[in-house]
Amino acid sequence: MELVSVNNISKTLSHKKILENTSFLLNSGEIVGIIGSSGSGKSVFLKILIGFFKADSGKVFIDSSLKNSIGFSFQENSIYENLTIRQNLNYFSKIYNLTSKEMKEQIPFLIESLDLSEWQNVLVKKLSGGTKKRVDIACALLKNPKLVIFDEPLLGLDPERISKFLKLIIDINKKYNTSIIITSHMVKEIFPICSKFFLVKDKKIYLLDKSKLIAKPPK
Amino acid sequence: MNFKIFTIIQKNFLIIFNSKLSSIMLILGPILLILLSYPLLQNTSIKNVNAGIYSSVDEDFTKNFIDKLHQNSFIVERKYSLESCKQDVIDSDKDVCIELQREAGGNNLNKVFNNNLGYRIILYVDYSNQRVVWQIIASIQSIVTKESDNIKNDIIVNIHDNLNEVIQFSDSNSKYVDNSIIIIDNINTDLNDLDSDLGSIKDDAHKAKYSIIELNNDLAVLLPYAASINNSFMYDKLKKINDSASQAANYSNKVEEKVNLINSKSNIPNSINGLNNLKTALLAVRSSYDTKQRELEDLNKIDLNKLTEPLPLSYQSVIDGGNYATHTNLNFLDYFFPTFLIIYLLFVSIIFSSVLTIRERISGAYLRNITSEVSNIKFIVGNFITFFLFVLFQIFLVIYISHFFLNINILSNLFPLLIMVSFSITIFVLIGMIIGYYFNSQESVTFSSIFISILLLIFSSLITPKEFLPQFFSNLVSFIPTTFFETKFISLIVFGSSLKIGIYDILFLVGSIFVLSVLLFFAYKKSKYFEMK
Repeated sequence: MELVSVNNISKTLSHKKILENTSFLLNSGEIVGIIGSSGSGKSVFLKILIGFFKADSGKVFIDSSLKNSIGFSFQENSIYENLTIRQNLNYFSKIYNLTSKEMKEQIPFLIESLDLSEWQNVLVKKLSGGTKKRVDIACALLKNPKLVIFDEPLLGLDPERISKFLKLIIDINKKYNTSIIITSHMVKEIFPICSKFFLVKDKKIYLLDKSKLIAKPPK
Repeated sequence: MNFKIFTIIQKNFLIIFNSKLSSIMLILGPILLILLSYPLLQNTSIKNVNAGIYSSVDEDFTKNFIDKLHQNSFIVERKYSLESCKQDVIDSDKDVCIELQREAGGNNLNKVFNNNLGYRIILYVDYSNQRVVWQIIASIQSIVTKESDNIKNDIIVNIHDNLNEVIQFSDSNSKYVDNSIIIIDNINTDLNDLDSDLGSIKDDAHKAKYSIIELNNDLAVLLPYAASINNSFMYDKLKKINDSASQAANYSNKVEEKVNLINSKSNIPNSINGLNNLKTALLAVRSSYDTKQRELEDLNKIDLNKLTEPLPLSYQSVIDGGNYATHTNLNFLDYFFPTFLIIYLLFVSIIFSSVLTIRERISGAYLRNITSEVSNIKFIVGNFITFFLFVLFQIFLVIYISHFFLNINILSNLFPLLIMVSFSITIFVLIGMIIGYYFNSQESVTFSSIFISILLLIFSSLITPKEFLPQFFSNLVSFIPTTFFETKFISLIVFGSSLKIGIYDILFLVGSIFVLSVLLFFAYKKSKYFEMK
């Protein structure tokens, strides 16, 4: 089932063309990777998907089941530095309309899954970059979204935590049929979990042939 | 080490100037402030002072005084009760209440000086209006001084005229006295002549008497001889009797002549008439002197100090002597506190809300907030309530500490004061949030919020009272939030008045909040457009 369909969109920011007449397709339950050099437009594209940016032209179709069910974690963490981990999760749970029961289940689960137990009552601004990233990921996963977008989620994580994180998103995908879009420069790490890869280059998004990627693993 | 400092300085300059709006505010802000405030501040003479006047004296004096006030750019309204006149000052509808009074004994003075003395003027002022109150008193003082000078001149001329009249009267009536003296002298002379003539008459009469006695004696001698007739002796005696009788007749003639002479010389009836006329004239003079003496005695009773201050002027607080038992004995801090409160509230509300708004916008969590299903309105309202509560808490602390440690009597009127404080916080927080959403960097938000706060401060009575402005701007300034709320705070805190909100006040409050809310909505939309373009 098509979850997200993008047709010939273009986007200009600060008088610079970022995307031009490009398209994208995501099906339900897929884990797709988006790769591309820095500044190629990956984050802009993802922000168009979550509704923060509006495409200058073209159509963006998002399935109605995704309404208020898109989670995201971008490079710049979308959390409050002056709140603790738990306070951030409590706040965003309420913003996302989680019930008390859901909060009682979900918050401890995410804290546990992302190894945040030790610092849950510490102000975010006192945490390391990697820990802040995990907090942001936790906020993205709060509402058990049907689509989760991760923009460079592996930055700052050590190999053990990378492995744990990848396992988590696979579990979420299997358990809830959650579709996942993940961008990362660490292609080798995300390669095994992604069913498809897209390349953002020269203002366009290209679907890559994964078999060719297998034959010639990307650097 | 020094180079590192320059590097840091350079970095800070770049941060500020990389934001166009920050650069503009940095340079334009002070220039605009001076350009806007210079025309307001250069003229420090008051104009369009609103005065209420209550008079218990005659209409002529009252109208004359009102005319003098008009000539000095006062806007005067006649009040028919002292209490309503003072209440207008308390409600800030008037800048001063003027009472024209009659002094005790004034009527007597007016008889002598043609109604120019016997008045006093009392000013009832609001000392919390510190920039203006002394100028108002000085302005009225100068009017009264001019009027006093006129009265002094009139009094002096009046005194001179009265004295001249007395002198002329004395001069004109002294001749009557002189004439009277001459008449009296003449009468004296006549009387003396009469006296001497009467003396000689008396002598003659005495001689006549002896002659007659001699005649009688001779006759007595003759009588016995009369019995023996044809005697020469008898003949001599009879001849002697005849001579004596003739002498007696002569003397009698002389007496008669003397009497006629006295009558012709003395003119006694005329003298008697003259004396009567004299008496009448002297009685008239006496009566006139009595009248003038009374006038001079009245003149003597006058307190000559009135000549140096014919129109005494005094001033007092509008609440002295009234039903404000808890608000008398006020000092500088009591009068200054409402202005201090509005300044504190202004800066805290605007800067606090604007800075927190921009901080929210530039924080990472903003993305998660605006892409959530929570409506924009809820975020705006939630932030507004937060800022409102913070500022209200601070103001409450200020009020509480001031009441207990600075002995400023506030708590007696706390509830109405909190209502006004709430309205003022609402308006200033909305202004701050508009700034926070409209500008896109912390620097430009900070500059702008300080600029706007100072601009609003300039229009408060502390710096530019509306009495210094032309009429149009004076009316406009009345509806600037700082001025509006400062007036209400003064009424509630200094005078302990009840909260009075008229129809214009309601229109201002509701209208301001509505307009600012609309502007806030557009500023928010603009911020979203800026972020999402």
